[in-house]
Formats: sequence, structure tokens, C-alpha cells
Amino acid sequence: MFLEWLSERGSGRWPLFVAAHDWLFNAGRSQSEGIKATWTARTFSDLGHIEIDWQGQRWSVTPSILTVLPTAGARSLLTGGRTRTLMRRLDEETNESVTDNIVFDRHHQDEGPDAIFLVSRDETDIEKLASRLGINYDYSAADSLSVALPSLDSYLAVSEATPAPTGYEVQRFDAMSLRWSTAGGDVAPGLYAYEVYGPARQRFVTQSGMSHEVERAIGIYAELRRTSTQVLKWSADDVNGALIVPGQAPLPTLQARVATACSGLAATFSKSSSTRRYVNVPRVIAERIAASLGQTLDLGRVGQNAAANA
Amino acid sequence: MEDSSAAEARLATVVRPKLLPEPSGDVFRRVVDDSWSWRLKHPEDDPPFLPVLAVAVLAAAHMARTEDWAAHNYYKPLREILRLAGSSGMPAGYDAAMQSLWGHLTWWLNDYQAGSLGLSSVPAHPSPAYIGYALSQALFRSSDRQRLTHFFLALDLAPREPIEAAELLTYFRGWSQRSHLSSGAREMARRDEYKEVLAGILTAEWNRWDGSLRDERGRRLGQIFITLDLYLRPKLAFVAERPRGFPTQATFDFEEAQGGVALTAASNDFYGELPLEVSAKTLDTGLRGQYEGFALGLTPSPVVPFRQHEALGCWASVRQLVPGEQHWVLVRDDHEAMVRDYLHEAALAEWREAQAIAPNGWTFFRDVVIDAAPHRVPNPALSRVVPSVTARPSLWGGLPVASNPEIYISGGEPDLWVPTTQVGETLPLAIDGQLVSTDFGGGRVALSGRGLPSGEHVVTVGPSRLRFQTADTIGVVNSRGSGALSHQLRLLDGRYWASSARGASETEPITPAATVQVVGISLLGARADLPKRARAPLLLPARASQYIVLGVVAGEIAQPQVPPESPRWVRRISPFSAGREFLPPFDVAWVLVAWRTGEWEARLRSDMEPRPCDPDTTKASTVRKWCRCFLELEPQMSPDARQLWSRYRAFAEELTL
Repeated sequence: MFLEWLSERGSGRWPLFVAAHDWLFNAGRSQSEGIKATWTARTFSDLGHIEIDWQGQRWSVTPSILTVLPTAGARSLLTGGRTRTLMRRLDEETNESVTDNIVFDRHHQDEGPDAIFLVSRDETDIEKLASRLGINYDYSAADSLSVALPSLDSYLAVSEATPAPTGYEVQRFDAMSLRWSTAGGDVAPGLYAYEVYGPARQRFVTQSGMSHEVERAIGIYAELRRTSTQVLKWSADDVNGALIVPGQAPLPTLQARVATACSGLAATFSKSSSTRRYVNVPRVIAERIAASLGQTLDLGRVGQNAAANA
Repeated sequence: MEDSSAAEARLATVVRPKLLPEPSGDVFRRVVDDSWSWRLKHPEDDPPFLPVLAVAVLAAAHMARTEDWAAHNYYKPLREILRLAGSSGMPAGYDAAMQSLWGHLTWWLNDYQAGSLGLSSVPAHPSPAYIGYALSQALFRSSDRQRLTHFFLALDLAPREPIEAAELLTYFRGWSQRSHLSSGAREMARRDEYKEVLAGILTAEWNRWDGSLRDERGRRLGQIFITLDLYLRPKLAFVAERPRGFPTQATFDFEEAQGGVALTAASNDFYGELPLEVSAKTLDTGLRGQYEGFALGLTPSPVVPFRQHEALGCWASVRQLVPGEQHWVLVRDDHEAMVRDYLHEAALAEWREAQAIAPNGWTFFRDVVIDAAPHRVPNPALSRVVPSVTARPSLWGGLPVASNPEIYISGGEPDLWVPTTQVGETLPLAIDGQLVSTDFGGGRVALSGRGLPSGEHVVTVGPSRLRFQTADTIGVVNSRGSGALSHQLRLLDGRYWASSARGASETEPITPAATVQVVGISLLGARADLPKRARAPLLLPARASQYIVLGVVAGEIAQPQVPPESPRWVRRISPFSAGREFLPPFDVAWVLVAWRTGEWEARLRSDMEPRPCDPDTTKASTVRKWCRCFLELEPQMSPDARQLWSRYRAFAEELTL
């Protein structure tokens, strides 16, 4: 329902998103029991359904698109906006009275909106369906996007070096434990968070003392790179593999989007290991994600064997 | 100052000589005749009949002080003031005279003076008839009229917004009982017999309201907020709002501060912190400051909810707790037990007392979230912490797809919120003409989940009618705002660079050169600027015995082996797929599938004509294999593919010759 509403609305200000979100998901829940609107927004963004301009406090839904998933048993994925008109037309176009070449179904996932998977006789059916629906088609979205991932350096190069907020509690990120703790100062190289009113602000101070105001995830990976800390793992599966990311070091938006575009599923969180798991990520794409973040992918023994066999 | 009874007597002596004896049949005839003469000849002068109206108001005020508010009781004090002997009923000619005189006054104020002295608040058709004119002025004082600005704001009304008198009256009667109106005005609100007078007053004041808050003297009023800053050491303070037109700098006179309080605008909307301590005394008495025609005020209340205030960057006192949001509540100790009981019953579980923040004699409760209206009407003293959106029924939440008018997506209809304590009585509730409850006591009603069809809907709660529309869809595949934001990447030396470190930004309608825009999982940009793409994967049916993939160029042939099982992670995902992917090394023209029955099927992938190979780079054996497929197999295919298959076969025949 929420994605349908976002899709019908198209775009809007962040407070509208929060108001609708909280009305739908958090009625009758206390603050700690409730789902945070920012969490939902990030999940939807990771899945490629919406874009968020955090600075401008705006959101917009992305145009609907059909894409073939990499080595996923000939499945395709519908992502982006999902208006009711689109879904009605998808129903009509795939009705068995019209074609028996394509079927689709909704797959429930706890972490995000239902994923919509399609199975077709061949890839041309999907392309033609996209054309009939009037939406985009891309046969290798995850692969293309992974090639275009910007590097950490490029994010740091364009980040503003604004003065640090004063008078607020400062926390420092510890790359070894991946935890934040109260800091006495914010001059030494490292990643700092300021508990200002509204969204917290992060500044990354480089080895040379340059400071950069960055998004939290970018800052974390900048600090992990500065301290040569490797945290990304890839575990080979029967076909592709799972990209495993520490819960305290979530992937930046585009990297997370590439990872989810491989399966159409949001990352699943494991409480026991405190990690997020992205399934069906081809090794080459996992390596591009890691490289863009200054990480060397830990392939593990199984992964290395699989890689050698490949 | 003159004694009030002496002043009353002096007023009576001015009026009495103008009256005729009662046996004349019209005590006020001379006054009325003079009033017409004044109106026709000398309206530039003050109305000569004002003392008569003043006596009428005085009589109404006397009546208001008694326990007996019966209408006939008005005439007794009137007769006493005017020393009219005879019966205790209406003096002869009073009815017609009052109609004329109050009418002349209204004409003079509204039309002749064009409102320059203030507009008339005299009801056109008072009830009870005739004495209602005076009652409207006596019971409902000037200060009460000014306080109506608080009522209009409590209803969340904007000037000139259409609202029925009956609706104003219903919610005023509830609001008045916890307001700071005079006792006469509150009593008037309680009694049914003054409904029409009140409705007239409310309508008149509503029509002239300019949207500003005013104090009892009619000065523009800025509210003083109690703020709570929790950073490091929790701190309570007073901060005054600065409505439009208030000076940027001024020294306001406060009783609590000798020499006044110099205030400077900290922003367009607020002055800096007031140098006054938030103590039990200031909370008990409230604050009032004035500077020329401007006033600042904090109305005391034993229960004060706080909510996060975006502009102030901290918690700030609010008029009303709203549903579902986190609040702190400051409570005077004599109300603490009552509030505690109420929170136990109504609030979500996490509320608790916050230690060492409130002044002596007061208690703070933190993390108070109340999402639902209480089952029973709570004590009126708790009205500020009973969740309500405004002081009248309103729509709250929902999933609006458009505003002006509000259109909600079907299934995302808003909730109806009806204030509980303000009304203090039950109301009939109907949705689209269907009676839902005859005695609705207030609270939250979900309008979603009722299967309302798309279209216009009307919710009726007592005198209030709320309208909204629903639509199943806006009717497009991609809405207009979709794709408005994207991540901008610059292409530099073959690598992609982020253009911003702060997430997505406005999408350029035409992607500039050397730029790629990422919208969702799509990349927008010139072909040369986009990453080089692999060939499209072929989706092959899994349960075939053999596959042959043939390219456009002779010799391009592949015989893919596909895994018998699909990847583990997709096996639990519906719909079932019997397909597998194959990444071809060349541009594919035909896919040949051998079914287990022995039949071959040809699937056309490209309508390109066959091309010869480069003999220097192509093995003759692969060309022979490629040709044999066309020459030896007789696959099933769609009729539109047959002609091209024939041309490929002819091409293969030529090659083999």
C-alpha cells in the first residue's frame, strides 16, 4: 500500500513521507516499537523504488522498469514505481487469455515491499511486455550500475568542508569494533558524528587533516579504508553468491542498490551475526562494489575455491 | 473611582426624563422619535439613545448575576433602574423600541462609520427576542469577544473559511467551559435559551476575525512558550513568539521584571529567550507582557503538553496533545494523580516520570504517546492531554494523492478525529449518509477498511460536515513526479565520479554530456557516456534436451549446457521458472531447442539477414556446423519466422556448395 501511494503521488517533501508512513505503519506503536521512516526510506531506495534528496528533504518515486536478474532461473524483476494503473495493466497483459508466455507473482518479504518477479518464455517477451506497458526495460541493470559505481575518493572530492558544529555531543567511529563512542575532540583523523537537532551530521577527517561532511555510510567506508579494515565478505552459492555486510557498516545507497538489483530482494538481517546478506550477487559485481568502497572482498575458502573453479 | 451603584443611578437620571409614562402605551416613543431624527439629520453626532441601551445592558448584567436566568427576570431590574412602577413584565413599547434602537446602532457603526469605531456585535435576530440585544452585550463582554480569537485558532480555522453558525456554536459550548471567558459568557454557553444569541455573536465575530490572536483588551497577542532543552543539562525557559508585524526589538512590561524585558527577534518568528525563571509561581500565574499595542502572554494551566518544535529545535509547550506523537507533559502536583491514572489507562506503555527537571510543585512525565481516544470522557482538566487534532472534528492522516481538494488513495482514507471533552455531549455520526452511531462520544474513527468506493465522501458529526474524495488510482503508469530525483555522476577519464556527497538531487531534463544520471536502477545519459554493456542474456527453457544458439554470421554457433536446477535461493520464489540464462558470445539470430520428444523448435531473436564470416578467423568446421543446422533440421517455428529461416537455409546452401 505504501509503495502504491508513493507511486501514485510521484514525489513530495520529506514531512509528507513521514506523515503517511507513520499513519500507515506506526499507529498504536510506541516510539521504540515503531518503524522509523528513515529506515523504510533507505530500504525503498536500496530496492530502487525511490530516490531521496536528504539535504533538500524531498523524495521521488523512480520510473517503473523491468529487468532480467543475473542467473536467477530466468526471472525478471519489476522495480521502480508501482501505480495501481500499472499493476492493473500488468494483470491484463499477463492474463492467460492474452498470453501464456509470461506469468508474474508477488513475493512477500518482511524487510520491504513485495518483490514482483516475472517468468517468461524468453527475454524478448519481457522486452515486449515493457513496451506494451509503456515502461523501461534493461536486461542488465545490476551489471551496468555496478560498472558506474563512484569511488569513495569521488565522494570525498565533492563533499563540503564546512566547519564542525559546536556545542553538540561528538561521537567517534571505531573501525575495529564498528561502534560509535563519545569523543573528547574531533581534530584527529577519523569519522565523527554530531548529535545536532534533526538528522545527525558526520565529518570525516583525513590523515592530512582535511575534513569532509559526508553521508554516514560513505564516512564509515572512508574510515574503514583509512584504517585498512576489510569488512565485506562474499560467500559463494550454487550459482552466484551472497554479499555479507556488517550491520554497523551498511552499504552506501548506490552500492546497496546494485546488490539488491541482483535479486530484487532487500538484504536480510541476521541478529546473531549482526550482518546484512544480499543474495544472488555475482562475484564480479561484489568485487566492483567492494572496490568502489576501497575494500578487498573476503571470498572465504569456499568462495576462493569457487572462484578458482570458475 | 465612582461607586458602581452611584454611576448606575446617574445613568438612570439621564434616561428617565426621556421616558413617557407607562399608561401612554409606549414608554420609549420619544427616544425612538429622537433616534430617527438623529439618523436622518445628524448622524455625525453620537447616537443620543446610547444611555437607554446602556440601561438595557445594565439590566441584563443584573440578571446575569442572579441564579434565575429566566427571560422575564430581566424586566425586574430594568424597571428598578428606570423606576418604572406597575407590573414586573415588559414595559409598554419596549419590544419595538429595542428593535429600532439596536438597529440604528448597528447601522451607525457598520454603515455610517464604516467600521471605523469597530463593528457591531449586536445579533440581528436575538433570542430571547428583544432582551437578547442587551444580553448579547452584557453577558458577552468585550474581553470575551477578544478571547474568541483563541477559540477560532483552537478550531484551526483560517479567516473567511466557510463554517456554519451551528458548528461554531457546538464547539464553542465545549471550548468555553475550559476557557478564560467571563462567568457570564460561560453560563450563556451552558444554557440552551441563549443558543441563538450566542450563534449571532459567534458569527459576527467570526466574520470580522483577521486571523490574529488578541488579548482581552484587543491588543495583538504573541504566545509565550515554555521550552525544554534536553541537551547536556535539561533546561526550562520561556520563549515568546513574534507574530508578523511585531517589533524586532522592544522592551515589554512584565509584572515579574522591573524595568521591563528587552526582547530582540531571534528569527522571523521568535524572540530570544525571556530572562524569567520558569518557576512554580510563573507557571501558576502565567505571564503577561505588553509594549504599545502588542502583548505577549502565557496562560496558566495545570497540565501542559510539550512536543518537539522544529523551528525552536527543542521541546516546547503546545495547546493540545496530538495523536500518535511523542510528548512530555508538565503537571501541577494537585493534578498529578489524575494525570498518572489517565496515562496508565490511555498512553502507550513507555511513559515515565522525568526526575529533577520540573520546578517544585510540578512533575514532568516523559515519552507520552497517546494514540487512541479514551473509552470514557475524562475530567475536563485533562482536556489538553486528550489526543485531538483540533477542537472540532477533523480528518487526520491517510494517504493523500492530491491536495485542494484532498484526494486520498482508496484504502488510505484518513481517520476521523472528534474531540472528546470539548463537546461534552454525544453526537450522531454518519458516513455517506449511513448512520454509524447515534451517540458518538468522540475519539478516533478509521475511515479506511470500510470499503468506501472511489469518489466523494461526506462524514457528518453533529453539525460538522467533512468532505473528502478518494481515487483508486490517478490513472497513469508512471506519475508525473516520478524520476524527479537522481544521482548525478560525471564521467572523467573513463571513470564515474559522484557529483554530490549528499545523495540524490534534481534530475536534469536532458542529461548533460559526460554525465550519467542514476534513477533507481536505470542509467540515463548519452550512449557513449553509459557503461559498455554485456550482451543481453538469453532465457532458455530448462527442460529441453539440447540447445543450439546460432549467430547472424556464419560459423557463430554455441551449444550451451544449462544447469538442471535453478539456484537455491529462487526455488522458494513464485512463480516457478523452468528457464535458465545463457550469455551468448555473439549477436544471436536463432535459438534452437530440442525437446525430449525429439522435436526441434526455432526461436527467432533477430530479424537480421545472414552474413558471411571472416575466413581468416573462423574455423571451417564451425561454419559447417552452423550450415548443417539450417540444412538438416526441420524445427517448429512461428509463421512470421519462416521466411527468414528459408533465407538462412538458402545462405547455408550457397556456403556449402
